[in-house]
Amino acid sequence: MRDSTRTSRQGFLKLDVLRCIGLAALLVCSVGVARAQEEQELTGVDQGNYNIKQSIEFGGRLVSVKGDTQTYDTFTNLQQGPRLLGFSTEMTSLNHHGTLFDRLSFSNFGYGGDPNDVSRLRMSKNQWYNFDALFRKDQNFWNYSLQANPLNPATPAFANAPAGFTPIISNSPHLMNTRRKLGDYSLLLMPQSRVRFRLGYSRNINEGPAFSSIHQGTEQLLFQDWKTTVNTYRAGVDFRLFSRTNFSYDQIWNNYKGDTGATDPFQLFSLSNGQGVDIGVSLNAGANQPCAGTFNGPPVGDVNPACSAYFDFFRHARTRTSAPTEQFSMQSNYWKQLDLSARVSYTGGDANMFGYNQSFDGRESRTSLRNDLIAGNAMGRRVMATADFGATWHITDRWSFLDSFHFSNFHYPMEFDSSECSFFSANLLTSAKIFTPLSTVPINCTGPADGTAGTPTHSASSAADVSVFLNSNFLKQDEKTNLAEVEYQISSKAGARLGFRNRHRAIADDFFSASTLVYFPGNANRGSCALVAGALPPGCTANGDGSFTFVTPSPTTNPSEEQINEYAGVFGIWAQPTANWRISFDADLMSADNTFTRISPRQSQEYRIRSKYRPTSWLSLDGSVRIWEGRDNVDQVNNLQHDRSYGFNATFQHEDKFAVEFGYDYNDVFSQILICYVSSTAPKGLAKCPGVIGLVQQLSTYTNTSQYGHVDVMWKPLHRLTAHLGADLTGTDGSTILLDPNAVPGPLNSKWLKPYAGLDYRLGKNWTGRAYWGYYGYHEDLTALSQDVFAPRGFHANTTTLSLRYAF
Amino acid sequence: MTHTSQRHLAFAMSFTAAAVLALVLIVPGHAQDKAKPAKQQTSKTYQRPTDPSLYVGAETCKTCHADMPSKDFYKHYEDSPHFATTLDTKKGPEWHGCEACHGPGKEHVEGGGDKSKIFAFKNASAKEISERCLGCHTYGDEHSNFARSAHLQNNVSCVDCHSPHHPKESQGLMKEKQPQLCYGCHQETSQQFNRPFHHRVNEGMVQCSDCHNPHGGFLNRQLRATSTQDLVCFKCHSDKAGPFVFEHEAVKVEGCTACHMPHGSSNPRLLKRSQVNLVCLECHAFTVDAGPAAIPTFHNQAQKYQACTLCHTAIHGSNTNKFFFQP
Repeated sequence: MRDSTRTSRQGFLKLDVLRCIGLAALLVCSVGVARAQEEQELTGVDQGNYNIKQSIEFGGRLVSVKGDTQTYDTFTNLQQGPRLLGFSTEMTSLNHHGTLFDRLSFSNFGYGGDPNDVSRLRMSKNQWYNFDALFRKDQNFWNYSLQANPLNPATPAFANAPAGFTPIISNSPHLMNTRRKLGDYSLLLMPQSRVRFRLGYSRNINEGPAFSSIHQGTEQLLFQDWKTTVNTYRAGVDFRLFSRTNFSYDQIWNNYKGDTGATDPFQLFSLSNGQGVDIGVSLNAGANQPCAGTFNGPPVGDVNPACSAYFDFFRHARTRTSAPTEQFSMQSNYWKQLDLSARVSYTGGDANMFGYNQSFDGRESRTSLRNDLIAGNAMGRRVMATADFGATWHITDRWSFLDSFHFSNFHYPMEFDSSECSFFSANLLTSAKIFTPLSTVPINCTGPADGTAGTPTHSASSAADVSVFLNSNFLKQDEKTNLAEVEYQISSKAGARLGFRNRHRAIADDFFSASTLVYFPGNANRGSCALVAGALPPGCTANGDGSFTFVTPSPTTNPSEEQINEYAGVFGIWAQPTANWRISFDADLMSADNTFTRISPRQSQEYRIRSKYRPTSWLSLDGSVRIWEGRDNVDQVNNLQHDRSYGFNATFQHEDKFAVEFGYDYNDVFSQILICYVSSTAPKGLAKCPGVIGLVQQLSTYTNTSQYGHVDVMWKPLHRLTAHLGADLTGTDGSTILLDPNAVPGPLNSKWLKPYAGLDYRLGKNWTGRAYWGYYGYHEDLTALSQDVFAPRGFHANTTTLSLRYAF
Repeated sequence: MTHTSQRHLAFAMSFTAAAVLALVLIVPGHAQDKAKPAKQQTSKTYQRPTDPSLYVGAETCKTCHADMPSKDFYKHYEDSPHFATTLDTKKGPEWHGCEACHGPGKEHVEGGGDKSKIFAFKNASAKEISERCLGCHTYGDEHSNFARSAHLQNNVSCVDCHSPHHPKESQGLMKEKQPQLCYGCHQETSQQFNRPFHHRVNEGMVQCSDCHNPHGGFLNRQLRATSTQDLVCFKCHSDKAGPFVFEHEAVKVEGCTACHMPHGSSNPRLLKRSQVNLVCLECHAFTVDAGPAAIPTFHNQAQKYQACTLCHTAIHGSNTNKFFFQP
C-alpha cells in the first residue's frame, strides 16, 4: 500500500527543476522554423500507396502535492515520471485500394504511469472489412478516508492503550488499488454487401489489492485480492433481403469469473501470551467498542481476552456466470412512409459459486464463537428476455406518428446450500472445546487444530454447533413501456410533438429457507431449540447425548408481487427563429399509482430548455435549463425532491489566433423524506416512529448547491507560439442532518479548483515543445471534529508537464 | 375500473392504434412506391432518383469545387472515407461520390452552379439531412432508431455532430472530440463531470457514447445495454451484475441511479447523499429493515453506523448472506 503520510510529497528536487527548465529553454531557443513544415505535418508524407501522418509526444511530469496525498490519488492520481503522452499514426491509401487496408488509425495516450491509458486501432479495407480495437486501462486508486469510516471519536481515551495507538481511522476501510483493463475488439466483414458478418470480443479484467470489512463480533478489516474477469464473444450476420431492409442475428456468449478472496493479515495487537490479534476498526472507548476495557495492563497494551478479535480469517469464493444470448433484430424503411426497427433477445444462463469456503479463527464475544467454518455452493439461473419495437409513420410532409415499445423480463432463481461448523470458547486465550456427538449429525465437522475435547462454552446467543442451510430466492421483473407520439412540423423553422407513455412493471419475489441445526451441550436449549413454556418448540428433537436437532417444520415459500403503473405525457417543441439560432423545449409529466422504494417518485416533472445561438462566425452563445421535480408525498414518506440546473456557455474565436470560452452552471439539489432511526444523541422532542418501538422519526432534508465556472483562453501571439490559460472551478455548499455526532459535512461543503496554463512552441522541423502547468486544489470546510482535525482530506498539487511532440 | 384493467386498456389502445396505422399504411405505401416516379415523391423519406442522365459524376464537381468553398475542398473529400463511394462499380450513379449525398447535379451544372438546383445541407431541416445520411448508414442497431431519437426530435441532425468535409476527428468524421462535442448542448453534464467524484470522461477513459447511444434507442435517456441486455453500468462494474442468491432488489428493479449519480457527484462513490447511512435510511426507515426494534441500541446512529456499508459490504447483492455482510 502507499505511504499514507499526509504532510507533503515534494515530488522533485530543485536540481531536476533547473534541468527541466534548461532543457525547455534550449529547445525553445534552438532550431529554426519554417511555416511550410506545419503544413507538411498536416498533409503527411506519401510513401508507397499510402499517405502517412504520425506524431509522438513524449516528456515527463513533475508533481508536487501538499496535504492529503491519499485524496489526491483518489481524485487525480497523476504521478511524476517520464511519459508517452501520445502517439498516433494515420495511414490512408492514396488510390483507396491498399493491399491490406485502405485506412489505418492507431492512437494512444497515457503510457508510462498515468492512471488512464487508452489505445485505439482502426483498420478498414473498402468492401472487405472494418476492424476496431479499443484497449483501456484504468488505475483505480480509492482512499477517500470518510468512505466506510466508523468515525471513531478521539475521546474518551482508551485506558492502557499501547504506545502510538489512535482510534482515528485515517484510511478508508474500503480502500482500493485496482486496475481495470477493458478490451473491445470487433471485426465487420464485407461491410457493404447484402450479407455481412460480424465478430466481436470484449474482455474486462478488474484486479488488484483492496480492503473490505466484515461484521462478525466487531468490524474487521480484510485484505482482498480482487479479481473479476468478463469475456464476451459475439458473432453476428446481417442480411439485406429486401430493399432498405436489414435482418440481423447475433449469438453472444458472456462469461463472468469472480475470484476475489479475503484474508485478515492485520494482527497489529497482541494478547498477554504474545499471540497477534486484530481488534477491528470500530474503536470507541465510550461505547465499549470493541469491548469494555479493550486493553489490559500491566503490561500496557495487551488486548482484553474477552474482546471480539481475529487471529485469522480466510474466504474463498469462485463465482462463474455463463450467459449465452440470442438476438434477432431488423430495420426497414421498405415502405417509404414507414421506418421500422425491432429487436428480440433472450439470455438464459447459469450462475454458480462452487466451493465457497470461509473460515474464522478468533472470538466473537457476544456468541462465544471461537472457530467457524462455512462451506457451500450457490447455483441458479440468469434469464433475461427483451423485445423492442419502434416505428415512425410519416403520415404527411408535416405529420408523423411515432411508437416505441420496450418489453423486458428478467428472473433469477438462485439457491445457496451451505453448512457451518461452529466451535466455542470462554475467551481468546482458551481454545475451542470440541464435543463428540453420539448421535448422527448432518455433516462431520473437523475441529480446529488447537481445539480440546470437552463441552463447548456456549452463551445464550450462540448459534448452532452444526448447521445445514438451504436458501432459495427468486426475483422477477416484467416491464412493458410504450411511447406513442405525434409530431407536427409547423414549418421548416419549427416543430412540435405530443405523446403519451405508459409503463407497467410487475415485480415478484419469493423466498424459501430450510435448515437443520444441531445444538450441542452445554446450554443446548438455545436458539431454535430454546424451551418455550418448558417444552421443546416444533421441529426440535432430543438426540439422547444431550444435543438437540432442529429441522425446519414444513418450510413454506413467501411470494410477493408489486404492480406499478406509470402514465406520462410528453411534449416538445423546437424552433429555429434564425439560421443561427436553435432552441428546444421538452416536458415530461409522469404519475404512478405505486412505487417500489420510498425514494421513487410517484409524480415527476422534467423540463428541459436548450438554446444554441451563433450570431456571427466568431461568437457562439449556448444556454440550457433542466428542472426535475419528484414527489412521493404520501403518509409516512413525505418525499419531495428537485434537481435544477441552469447553465450558459460563450465562445469567442477570432480566426486561429485568439479564442475565449467561458461558462457557468448552477445546480440545486433538494430532498426531504421522513426517516426513522435510533440514536442516543437524537434531538429531544422527536416524534416516535409509528408502529416501531424504539425508533424516532425525523424529516431528513438534504440540500446541495453546486456552482461550476470554467474559462479557457487560447492566444497565438506568434505563428510558432500558442498560449493556453484556463480553469475549472467547482464550489459546493449544502446541508444534511448528521445522525452521528462525529460525522462531518466533508465534500458537501468543498471547493475543487483546477486552473491551468500552458505554452506550445513550434521549435522547428516537425518539432513542438510543450510546457503545461496544472493545479489541483481540493478544500473541505473543516470542523473541530476528530475526522477533520486528525484526518483532513484537503490537498493542493502542482503538476508540470514538459513534452516534445514530433510529427512525421 | 381496476388498475389492471386500466393498464390493459391503455396498452390495448396504443397497440391497436399502432397496428391499424401500420396496416392502413403498408399496402398503399408499397403501391405508391411503384406507381410514382421517384422525383415526384412527396414522402418525407428521401428516395434517390435512379435515372443516370440526371447525374454528372464527381469529376465534374471537382472542376468547380477543387478549392470552393474552401481551399483544397475536393482534396479533403478525396481523403475522406466517403470518397470510396466513387469506386463502387456495382451500384448506380445515385450512390456515387458527391451526388450520393447532394443528389443529382446535372441541373446544378447546367444552371451555372445554381445553388437552388442541388441539395445543400446547410439550410436543410434535420429530418431531410438524416434521411440522406441514413440512406446508407441505417445498418445495424447503432442508427436504426435515429428517427425516434431525442436528437432528431429536437431538430439535431447528423451534421450537427459530424462534418463530412471538415472533421476535427477523422474517425466518425466528428466535428469535435467527445465529450466537448456533447457538452456543446448538454452543459449540465459538463459541471457533473467536473465534480470531485466523477466517471473519467474528461480524462478520456470513458466516452459519453459508451453509455448513451446518440442515435437513439429503446431505453430511457438513450442508454445502451450490455450484450446480455442488462444495465449498461454492468459492462464495467461486472461484479455488481449478479445474479445473486440474496439480491438487493432495488439495484435490479430501480437501477443504479436509485442511489448513485452516474455522471459525477459531490459525494463519495457518486452517491446521491453525502452520508451513507442517509442513503440507506431514506428507504429502510419505518420498517423492520431499520433494525430490530427490540434492541434499540443495535443500530445506534450515534456510534459507528455513519456508513451502513462498513458492515453491509456486499450491498449490491450477496450469494451467501441475506444481510449482505459478505459476498
